[in-house]
Amino acid sequence: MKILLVDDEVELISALAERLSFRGIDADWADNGEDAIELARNNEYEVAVLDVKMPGMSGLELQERLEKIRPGMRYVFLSGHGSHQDFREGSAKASSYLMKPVNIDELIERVKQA
Amino acid sequence: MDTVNSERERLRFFGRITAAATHDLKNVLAIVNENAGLLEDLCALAERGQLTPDRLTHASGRIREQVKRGDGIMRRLNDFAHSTDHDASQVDLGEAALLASGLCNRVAKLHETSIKVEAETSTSVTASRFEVIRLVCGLIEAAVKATGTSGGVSVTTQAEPPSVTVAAPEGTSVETGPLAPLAESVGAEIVSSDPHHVAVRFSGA
Repeated sequence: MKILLVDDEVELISALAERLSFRGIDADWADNGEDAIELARNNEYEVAVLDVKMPGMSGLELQERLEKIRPGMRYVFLSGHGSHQDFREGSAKASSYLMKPVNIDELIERVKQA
Repeated sequence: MDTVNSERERLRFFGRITAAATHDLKNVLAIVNENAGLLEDLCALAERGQLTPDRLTHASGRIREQVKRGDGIMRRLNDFAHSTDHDASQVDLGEAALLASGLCNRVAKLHETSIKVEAETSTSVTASRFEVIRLVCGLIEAAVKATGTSGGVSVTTQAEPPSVTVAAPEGTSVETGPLAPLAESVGAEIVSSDPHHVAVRFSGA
């Protein structure tokens, strides 16, 4: 399974990608929306895991852009905020919504269910 | 509409600052969580003899860095919380500028800009520390919004007259009109030599 991880915290997203690779999930990562779009143009991903709040392009804006490039790709949102607004927006537009810090087993389960 | 000096606006400011700080802390915890998990994964590899020590050092180094980052966020948040302890006190403008800049780091990051502080000149004024910090944060936020991705925001302090200056890149315009009543309430005024360059000037030490 190949997935795309996007979060502006490099130390988080790179460690997460490495841990997923130990569990048989091939994860590319980007720390901003533009790089994520470039990766999606050149690779096919089944699922994208997106941080809701990022500098520049938000996770929700990125999802809209990615949907045009890769229709059918599924989404899981991550957020550190936990605000009701984030939850409403994230849960309405994604297959799943997880709060940071994430439990990796739960993330894998959500990615597979997405 | 609530004015800048209403209790509602003060509460909103407190909420904005604490929300940004707790968001950053969540990220710190998430990074510590992932790198602690990575260490566990790497230990499992080590048991099978498939590991070089540098990978362990890298992950533990990241955890140490995040502990330091989290400590900085907590110290600023605690310092900010204590700014409400007294209605009026001696406020070191250099310290207030440093704290306000630190508190505004997240909003700067979200606007894809950065804040540089040069607060070497130490000077004090008698005022509400909370309101001085709110005022300087207000100036910084206005400069950050004006700046966007076109450069960085600089914050400096001056001793004579006691003042804090906030500068956005040339060609931008920092809108500070709504902050004027707040400046007045702490015995200061907002002066602007150029549209991108604003200062809060206190009437005396």
